Amino acid sequence: MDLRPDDREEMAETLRAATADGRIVDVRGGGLHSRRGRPFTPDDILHTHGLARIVDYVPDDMTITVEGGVAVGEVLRLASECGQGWPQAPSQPDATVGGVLAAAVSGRRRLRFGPIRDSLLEVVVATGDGRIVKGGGRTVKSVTGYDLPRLFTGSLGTLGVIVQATLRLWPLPIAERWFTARGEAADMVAMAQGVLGDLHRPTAVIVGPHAVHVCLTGVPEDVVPPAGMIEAAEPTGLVVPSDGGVATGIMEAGVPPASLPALARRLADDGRDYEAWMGTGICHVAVSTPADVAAVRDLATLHAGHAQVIDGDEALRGDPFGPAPAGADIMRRIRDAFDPAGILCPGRFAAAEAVPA
Amino acid sequence: MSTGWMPGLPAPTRDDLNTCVQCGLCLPSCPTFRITGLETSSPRGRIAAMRAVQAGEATVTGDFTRFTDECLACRACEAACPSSVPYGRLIEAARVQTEAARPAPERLMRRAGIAGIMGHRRMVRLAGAGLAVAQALRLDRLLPRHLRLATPRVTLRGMRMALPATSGEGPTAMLLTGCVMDIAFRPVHRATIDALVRAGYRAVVPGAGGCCGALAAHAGELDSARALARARIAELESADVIVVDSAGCSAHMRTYGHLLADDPAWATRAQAVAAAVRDAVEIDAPPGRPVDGRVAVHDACHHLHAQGIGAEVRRTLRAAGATCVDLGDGGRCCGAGGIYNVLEPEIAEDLGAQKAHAIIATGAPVVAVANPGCAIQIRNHLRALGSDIDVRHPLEIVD
Amino acid sequence: MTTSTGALADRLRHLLGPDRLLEGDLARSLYSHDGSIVGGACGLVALPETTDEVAACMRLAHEAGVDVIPRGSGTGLTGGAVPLDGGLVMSLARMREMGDVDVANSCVWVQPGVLNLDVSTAVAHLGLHYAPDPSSQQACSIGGNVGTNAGGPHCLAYGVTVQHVLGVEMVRPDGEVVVLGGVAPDPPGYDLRGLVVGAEGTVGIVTRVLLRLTPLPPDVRTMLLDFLSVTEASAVVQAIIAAGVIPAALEMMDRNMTMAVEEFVHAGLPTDAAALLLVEVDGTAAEVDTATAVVERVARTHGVRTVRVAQDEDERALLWKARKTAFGAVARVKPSYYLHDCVVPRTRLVEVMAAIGEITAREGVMCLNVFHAGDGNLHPIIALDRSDPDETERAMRAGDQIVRACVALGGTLSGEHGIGVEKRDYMPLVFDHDDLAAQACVRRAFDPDGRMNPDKILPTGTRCGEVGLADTQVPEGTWI
Repeated sequence: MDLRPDDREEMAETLRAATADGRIVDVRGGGLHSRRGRPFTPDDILHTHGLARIVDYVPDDMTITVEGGVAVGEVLRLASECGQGWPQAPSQPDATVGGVLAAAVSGRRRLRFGPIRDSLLEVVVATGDGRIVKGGGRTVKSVTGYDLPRLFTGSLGTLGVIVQATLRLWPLPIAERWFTARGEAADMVAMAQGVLGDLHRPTAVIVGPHAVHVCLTGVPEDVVPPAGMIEAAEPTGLVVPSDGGVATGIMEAGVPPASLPALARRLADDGRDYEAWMGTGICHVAVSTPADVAAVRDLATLHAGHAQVIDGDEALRGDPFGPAPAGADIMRRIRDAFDPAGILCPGRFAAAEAVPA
Repeated sequence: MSTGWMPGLPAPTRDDLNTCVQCGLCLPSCPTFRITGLETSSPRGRIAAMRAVQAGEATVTGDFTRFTDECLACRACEAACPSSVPYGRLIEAARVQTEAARPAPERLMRRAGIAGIMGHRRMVRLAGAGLAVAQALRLDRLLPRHLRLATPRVTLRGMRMALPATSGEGPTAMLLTGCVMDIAFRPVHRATIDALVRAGYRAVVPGAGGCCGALAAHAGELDSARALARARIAELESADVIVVDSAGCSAHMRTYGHLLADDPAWATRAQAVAAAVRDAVEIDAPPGRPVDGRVAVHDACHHLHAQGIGAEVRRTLRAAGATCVDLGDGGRCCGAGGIYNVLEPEIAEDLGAQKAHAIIATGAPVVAVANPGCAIQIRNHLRALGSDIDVRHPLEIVD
Repeated sequence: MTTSTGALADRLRHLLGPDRLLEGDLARSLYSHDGSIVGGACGLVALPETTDEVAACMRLAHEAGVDVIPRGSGTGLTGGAVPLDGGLVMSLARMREMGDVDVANSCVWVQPGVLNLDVSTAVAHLGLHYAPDPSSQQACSIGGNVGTNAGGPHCLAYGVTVQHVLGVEMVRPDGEVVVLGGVAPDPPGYDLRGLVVGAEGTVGIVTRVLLRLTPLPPDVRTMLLDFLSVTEASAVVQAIIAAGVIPAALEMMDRNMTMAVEEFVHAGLPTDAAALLLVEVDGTAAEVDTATAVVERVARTHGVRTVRVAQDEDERALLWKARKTAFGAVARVKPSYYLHDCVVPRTRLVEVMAAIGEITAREGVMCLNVFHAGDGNLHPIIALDRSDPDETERAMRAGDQIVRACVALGGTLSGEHGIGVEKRDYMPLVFDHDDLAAQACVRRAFDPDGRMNPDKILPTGTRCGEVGLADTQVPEGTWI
């Protein structure tokens, strides 16, 4: 059943009822990050589109408070009217704020501006058992209590539904441009390493099997094409058809940043499509079969990292997270406290006790 | 409110103790805290312990004595303290208390060393001669390691090195001959006299001479310290300037006014002498010879922290053409601390070894050291590490 | 000492030796304080040197059911390291080894007792630094920084501690060692690393920290702006940010503070100015030039009196010394001080400064202000003499009103010092019952027995487990 609460109280009420009835709930924002975690069959799908209000935007303070169902593009549009931006956000205008936070999807400017969790100041959630809980604070700096905003960022909807978020905005840069070059994979990796070594704080250095993309931000004097590169648009990233007969998906590997060049070269040798965010250790890899998932994870592990499936149909998501994370028992106790009946997105909990084969 | 201080004796004052806000910024500057990591061997901890005594919650025996004994009195914490806590004054007053509270046999031992020997020139020279003979016969090998590391290298020839009674023309500059300086560092006196002559002074070496009382004061033996101060005042007060080529002594003599403030017969004279004191590196003499190459510079705590002297040493050396190399240890105390290396050998040994390593790391063939305690400690630790880097007073280097 | 701590002492002494277990009354009393005015009672002090020793101590404390209070350098300002009612203080001051710098990944593992400034000093030759720079950075430890999620002037542009801690090795309350986070980003599961940072030692003892190292900026410029009114200075802070410049640091000092500091550092600060702004911009040469021009332009349109640009590294260091020794310099005015570190939205700076002025005048206490204006993080320092009970009472009252005023203006309790004991009972001003219960649940997930640094952060009586109950069951004002 599709449920569409209109405000946070309704959202909490819905979750309270689901907990009482033991109905399994999936949470849906823009639907861009819904094919994550182990497959599970929800009794209800809880949509956040009803929570789409802009609560408070204080341009002089560079903070914006919005409801969880507000689209990322809407935040960017509002902010840009005041010369501001949300550089940690992914280039996914149709995704919701709650969705990209719950899935911890960072934008390609992560190298300079950090991951998306650094932009979340205050969060309000409706927990699995229907409480409204606030964490953090709307000021740009706060160490008041335990850092619930960080706990909820990346919790994949397993603790509660993000009903409101206060984000830290940044001034739009005086200049920002993307540059690109095309060529053989090894050359692209080398070119990217050169840019990383030569420039002070590049905004993004992205490598694919046939191209390198660089984003520079700052003052016009500094935003000039690196040697051998020409201006171009931001890359679109790996695209996965959401239907079709062949199983396709994307994994996100995280390895030590210095290991990324080797990982990228190896992926190219193996004939895989990928997008490596140089300097950050993040690499998106296209996969088509469960064997691909295992192979990419082995490769990430070999490079002292890890890899999880972040998009893909059910056949790819038998073991989307890999080995149990450190502190799994702590994670289980946290989940039990926020969602005691275990109704929220059970397949997306990385530290579940026993993974059914 | 009854305090734990022993009545009738100087003690840290409430006002001085109150200046500490417990911020802890002093911790990393304290050499003993750096080694032990213990609050009990930090300036903040020692002040808190004094406050506990002040509040009547502790006495000046046992742990309190141990915590204050561990202090080098290097006063590096004073430079780090944004509240300007007069730590040197606090620790000296605390030591008056702990000395008085010490069991009689232990006190006697310490007194015999500090006041008994240092207070009497003849005793000093006798001890020096004994040491020289022992070292010549290599009998000093029989001493425990920590005592060996704390013992100056003394030769009878050095002790007999003649110093001219007067030399040069100009305003009268009288030299403090001192105690340890007089038996182990006469070449430094020699270089200081030469520098005074070059700077246009009439350099005078007083007849009897003797200890300034610094060691006694640092050990809490204030009566001995005052007696020695009075003797030095009487001996030196006729000079235009009083020149002191040991950092520990110049720092101490500058406090004569404070030391004798309650003695109506001497207070004014003490202040005048204190005002006439010049450390030898402050006399601004032209160099006696050119020096090329690198000179490592060790800042004595009694220069850097007690008197704010540091630039003067470097200026003296650079004027002769030397390249000064600072040590990479942030100017930490070498662990000599007067006679600290005898009383607290473990910490002193760690600090001495650290200092020797820092000096070796500069690659310089010579290190400038302007304090006898430091010179003894540094020389012995360098030799223990197999280094033959020369240890010299800055004025010797340019003489 | 209770029987259980007596038996624990024997076992700890056997483990660490007598030199690294402090049992004497005087020694223990020195560990019942930190940099704040909070006092407590210390049971035992252990000084482990390795992770294994910490784990062994924690197992023994676990078996004995004894509370554990971690301590770094003891420079905290909220009583976070103060043992309130006995227990085992674990001083990490002897755990000060720094691992080899991983230059390729720009990070380094350090033990918690390593001092903040020592990290930057040790990696400077590689062109790197550790960005968070609390004013006590010469003395405060990385472990303490992790506990409080410490900030500092340069956090305005570079972010606070949690953004520079890639991973932690932590000994859990039962003695188990766990590594959370690491050099590979975004491991699956909840961000427990992010929860440990800022948890003030209530979830375990951090025994190693993986620090992100940041390249030193190619160019830096430090400016001192002086104003004849605090209102003008506050307006400039807002205007600089609104003009699209996020300086590396943006600090304000009021006249009382300037006078106290100038007496100590002799930096040539204009002591007749009502407020000074210390502004630092960094980046490429072009970025620095542009940002400098913006700052100057904004300042001039808002009544700046003079703009002093540091001409060399020495002058820059002197200006920063003036800023960073400010707290201690208060002792030149009164022997003690009491402060909060509330944060307000930057847009409310003018109002909050006026409110602080009114409150302190009404209570007849002297207030000195020095703070991170760029992120709205206040440090109203009330100078007092604690031997004067009346003045102490007035200072406490003023502090209380300042906290409430900040919260009323949309602010929060702490920007970087943490909650500790001092602000614990203010938590209900910003969080309701369910919010606090949720935080208690997070804490309990790490420490089911509640033995880690008890009675810190959350008001007494906050429990996980009452969640979902109606607020009406809790009498209003219970926590206050």
